[in-house]
Amino acid sequence: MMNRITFDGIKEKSFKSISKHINENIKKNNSKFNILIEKFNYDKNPNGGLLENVPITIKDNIFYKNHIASCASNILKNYRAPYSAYVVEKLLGEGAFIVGRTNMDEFAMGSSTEYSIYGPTKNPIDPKFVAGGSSGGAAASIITGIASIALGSDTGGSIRQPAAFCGAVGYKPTYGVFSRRGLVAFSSSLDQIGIIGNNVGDIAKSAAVMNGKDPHDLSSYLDRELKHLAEYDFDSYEGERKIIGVIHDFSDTPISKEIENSYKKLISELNKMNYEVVSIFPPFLEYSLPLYHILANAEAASNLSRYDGLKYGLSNNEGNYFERVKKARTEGFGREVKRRILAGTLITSEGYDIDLYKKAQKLRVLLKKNYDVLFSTVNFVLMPTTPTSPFKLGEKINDPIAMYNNDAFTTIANIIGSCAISLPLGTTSGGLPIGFQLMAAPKEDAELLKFSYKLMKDLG
Amino acid sequence: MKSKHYTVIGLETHIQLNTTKKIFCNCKNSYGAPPNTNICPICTGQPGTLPVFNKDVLRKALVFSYALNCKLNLFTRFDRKNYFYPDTPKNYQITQHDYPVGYDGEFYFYSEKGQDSIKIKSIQMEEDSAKIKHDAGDILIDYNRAGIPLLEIISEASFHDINNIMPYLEFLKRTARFLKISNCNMEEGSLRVDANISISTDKNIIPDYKIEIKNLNSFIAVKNSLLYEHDRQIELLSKGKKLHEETRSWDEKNKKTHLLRKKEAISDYRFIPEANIPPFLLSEKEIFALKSDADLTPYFIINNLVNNYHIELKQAYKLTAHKNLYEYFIEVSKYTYSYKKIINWLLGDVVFNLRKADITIDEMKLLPETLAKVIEMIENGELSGKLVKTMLPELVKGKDLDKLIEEKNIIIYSKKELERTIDKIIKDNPKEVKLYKNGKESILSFFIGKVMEETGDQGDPALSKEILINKLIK
Repeated sequence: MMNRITFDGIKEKSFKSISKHINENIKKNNSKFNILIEKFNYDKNPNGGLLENVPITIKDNIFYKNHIASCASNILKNYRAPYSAYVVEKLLGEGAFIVGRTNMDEFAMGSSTEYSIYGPTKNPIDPKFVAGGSSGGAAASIITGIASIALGSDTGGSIRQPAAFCGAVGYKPTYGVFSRRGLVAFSSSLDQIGIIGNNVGDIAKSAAVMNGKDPHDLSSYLDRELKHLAEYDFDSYEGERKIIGVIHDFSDTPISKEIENSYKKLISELNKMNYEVVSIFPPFLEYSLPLYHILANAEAASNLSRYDGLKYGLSNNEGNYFERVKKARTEGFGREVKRRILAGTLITSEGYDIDLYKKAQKLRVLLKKNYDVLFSTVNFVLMPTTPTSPFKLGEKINDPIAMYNNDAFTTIANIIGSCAISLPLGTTSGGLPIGFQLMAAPKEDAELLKFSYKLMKDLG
Repeated sequence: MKSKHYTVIGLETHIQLNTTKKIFCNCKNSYGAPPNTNICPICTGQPGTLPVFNKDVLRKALVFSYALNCKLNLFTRFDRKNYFYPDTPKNYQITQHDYPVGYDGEFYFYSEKGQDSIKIKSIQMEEDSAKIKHDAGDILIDYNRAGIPLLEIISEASFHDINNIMPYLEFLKRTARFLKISNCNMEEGSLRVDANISISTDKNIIPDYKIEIKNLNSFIAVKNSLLYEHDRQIELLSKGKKLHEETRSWDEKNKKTHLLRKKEAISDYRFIPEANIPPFLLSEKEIFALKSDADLTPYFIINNLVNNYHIELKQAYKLTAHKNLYEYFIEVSKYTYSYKKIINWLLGDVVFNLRKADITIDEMKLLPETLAKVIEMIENGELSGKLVKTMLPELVKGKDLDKLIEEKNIIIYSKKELERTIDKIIKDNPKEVKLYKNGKESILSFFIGKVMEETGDQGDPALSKEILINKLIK
């Protein structure tokens, strides 16, 4: 429907024709769907390389030196990145260029890109619907042909859910595959930079470029298998027989009829094609969402405390220290961010309830162990990316619990630190995209990407 | 009826480690640079930055934990202490809470009077905060200090006598200096103390409150603030007032403590693990390898001096006041076994002359072997102590010993020469010899005076006396 920009599509094209194409698509789509917050003044990247002439968008919480990175927040509205993110440097080093920064939920907290000071991003498939979030602008920039690769961040599903809602591929790597240096922190133990793209191959190639052991991020590591995907011939992939775990019982994690039917249809297709599919109960899946909110909010309250209006960002000159900080934060943060900071502060406060936060940490360890066991019996877990199809703009904005519920199937990968990819494998009766998520064990990123490529090819 | 009071004091001592770089970034760890010149995005808390741990900090923390006889956590990690304050760039401090490097230790220390020990609750690694300066109503922040590595040494609340605190702090400082982990310079703020004090009327009851005096940056301030607080609390308690937990500051000018905040306002620090720094899993082997780096503590050295060198505790204590002084002693002792004499000269006239000339022991030009030679010559009666005293001002500045002897026209009196001189004096003064033999011992000073006269003050009086007595009773 829209002339998207795939790696194959730009192979023979000049920078000039690519940028012309991008400009046309921006003109056509941006005011309509509110995708880019800012288009950068870009030029052909003089570094040739594996990603020569590949147009990239970056989410507004990822740093590109001397460019504004505001996290769609008033408090950082004019904040200019003092350095580039590690992954941005890597991409630029291989010849890619950056088109602009994309809209998002403020500080990546949300599932609809409605909590943005720049207004919501609309779903380019049908602008009455949300694009998903928090990387809504990133997903929209792919399907409107503004970029080939969109960098986003995924703390509990923020890459995969908008990819699913927009009909793109969204990859959240294993914790540590991409350095977080230059990603504004939301929840440090859950955050990962991720990629939204048109197809698995483009994503894999970019991931190979972006991966590396960054001396500035102690959690980052070099993944040799992933590195090999830079010049891998995906069509040659055979692989030994892989076992896919699927869910048959959704009573603890309710999903819409439409999603359930589509999921069942997908499973029967896989069976027909002789994939090995087994039924599983993903352990503690029903606890993952509340667990996620305890962990994420506790860390967010701490991570966001640095925004005090003294050193950078929204500032004022009124009253004493505490009055100034209070004013900057009151005016600087939006409702949802405040809600999460307050929740995070409450649950970590001494004497609050039953040591909820400590228990959450223990449960996280338990979950990791349980999924280690699960992944010793299956290679992948196939789940819906979201429990429902895209919802309408404004539909859930005043119902935080309903909004949070979007992440029912995505947070588990962040909690256990594993990798997952959302693949566009269905549509609703109304023509809206449905995404299904393939999750693998931590550090199985290369296998996940290879297998996803084959699955997409087999399913046509 | 006058009731008895028991004082309960615990100390939190912060020591800045002397690593070359800060704890989480590559900025220089140095004192005295112009404000905000040793800073980067990490130590000023810019978004998107991550702490990169300087492993040298862990090494030094482990060595110090060994020295304080702490148990070591094989699993150790950082936590975040969350609180808003303008000196805290991220509004949380990266510190250790649940799994500190060292815990349950016992620090043995000496004073001039003897030995003592205090239980150590924990030793933790953390980042220093920025420095705040109040300037005509403005708050000025210097981030140079933000991110300098600190060790926080938390003692159990088991000091009961304010007089025990100075020796503890002094010895903690010496230990850090001897192990080369910190310069512990209080003027530069590289050793700072928070003191907790409360008073109980019953020895067996731990008070239900404690008053914290924050940021004490001199030993005198620690002592005076605790004495003040001790008296203030006793006065309030004797009036029947109930005391509550609070944080106070010490006002050096007016010699008073002032209330900073009450308990209700003391923050709940909401500790959470620092997810950006993976926990450390240390192997027994790895940490055991560091043990030998913690061997040469002043405690060990004093024991050694007292037990093996038979030096008085008081002098051993003085000798270990500075590492360089002790090391100089060791060098001199390679050339002469008169350990006590070395120490007497070193702590006495050498130090006196250095101070007078305003030079440090490091800058001193008097070679250890020269000092040893001088001491040997005194022993042999070739030089008198009195004379050496006049020579030292020049010796410490590097004057050659032989040249000085030549210039001063000193005739080196060996024992034999001295004997010959004394023989002559005895022969020349038969009347006085007779008096001595008849029991007039005081006549001895007449002979010593004669010896001095003959030798031009260069004969050693003690040695002369010894020879005289031997010869006179014959």
